[in-house]
Amino acid sequence: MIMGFSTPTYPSTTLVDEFFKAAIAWDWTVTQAYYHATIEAYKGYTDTIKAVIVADTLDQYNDDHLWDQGYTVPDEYPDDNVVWYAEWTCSS
Amino acid sequence: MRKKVKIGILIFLILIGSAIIGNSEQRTKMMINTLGGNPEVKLKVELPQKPEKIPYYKVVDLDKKIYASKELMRPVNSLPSTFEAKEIAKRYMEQNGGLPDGLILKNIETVKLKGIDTTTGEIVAEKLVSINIIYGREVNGFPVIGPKADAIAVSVSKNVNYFSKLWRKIEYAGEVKLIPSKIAFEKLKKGEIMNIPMENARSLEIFDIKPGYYVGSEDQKVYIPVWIFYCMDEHGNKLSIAVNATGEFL
Repeated sequence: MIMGFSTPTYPSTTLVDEFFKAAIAWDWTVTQAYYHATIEAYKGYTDTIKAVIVADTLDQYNDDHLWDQGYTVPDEYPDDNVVWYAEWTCSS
Repeated sequence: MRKKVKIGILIFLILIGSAIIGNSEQRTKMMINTLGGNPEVKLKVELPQKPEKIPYYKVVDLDKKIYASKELMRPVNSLPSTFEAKEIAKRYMEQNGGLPDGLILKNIETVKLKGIDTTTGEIVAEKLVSINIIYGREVNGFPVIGPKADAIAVSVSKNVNYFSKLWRKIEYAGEVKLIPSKIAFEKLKKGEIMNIPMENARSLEIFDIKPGYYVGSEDQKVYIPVWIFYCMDEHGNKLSIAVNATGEFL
């Protein structure tokens, strides 16, 4: 999975802290943890900041966890050339 | 196994990126490259002469809440309208501490999950996910901005499936003079700013300038008065750059 931004953003240690807190301490999926981290890091900013996540399969988007933090989805085989892309505004 | 390696690489990149960004020398270079002395910072509005002073507030309490359901960010078959979503969010807030003063709707959008064929770039599937709403805060019409500014984020599908609130109780602590916006503009050009964007724009156009407040951390004891320069880069991205405007306390 690839996590990033489609707009300029700001450096933030909150982003990393909240991602690992949600993914490891709370056992959230990677998608949920990243969504939460981006909201916590940027909801106070008034710029337009958009976060993006890309997964190879729908199952990975929905259910993948960090290793040892829940179910991990197998790699796609054979490759179907389709990726799953979600984008959201995380700033105010 | 490949997945573990991929996630490992991602974590490594995040940590390295944070370390680089956290380095103060690097930050200074970023400011200089981006804003300080950059001849392409263009003013498209008059520098405001007023107000000369604004109220000053100290923080007396912090309300922080996070809620998430298992349905967060999962695709759904249907979504409420944006009007219904706002009502659902409002009801949730009323049932969880009430609607705070100064709540301003800042953004509402429908989040979708798109299946994209990487060989053609074509969207081959689209699924609804949620309606996301973000509220900010204004105090006497002055916006509160910054990484830890008061804000509420709500994600709604059938019900609220995510709620994140950071909101302060504040107390009036007198008046403070603002430095003139002209001086604040000079500071901006030198890179003396409160928030440093990860932005490598070649030009920034300032289309609005307003006083407001800046909150950089959860343990900040006061709202810092700032001049906010609302800018747009050459790609159409909007940035709000804050310059400390604290002058004499009255």
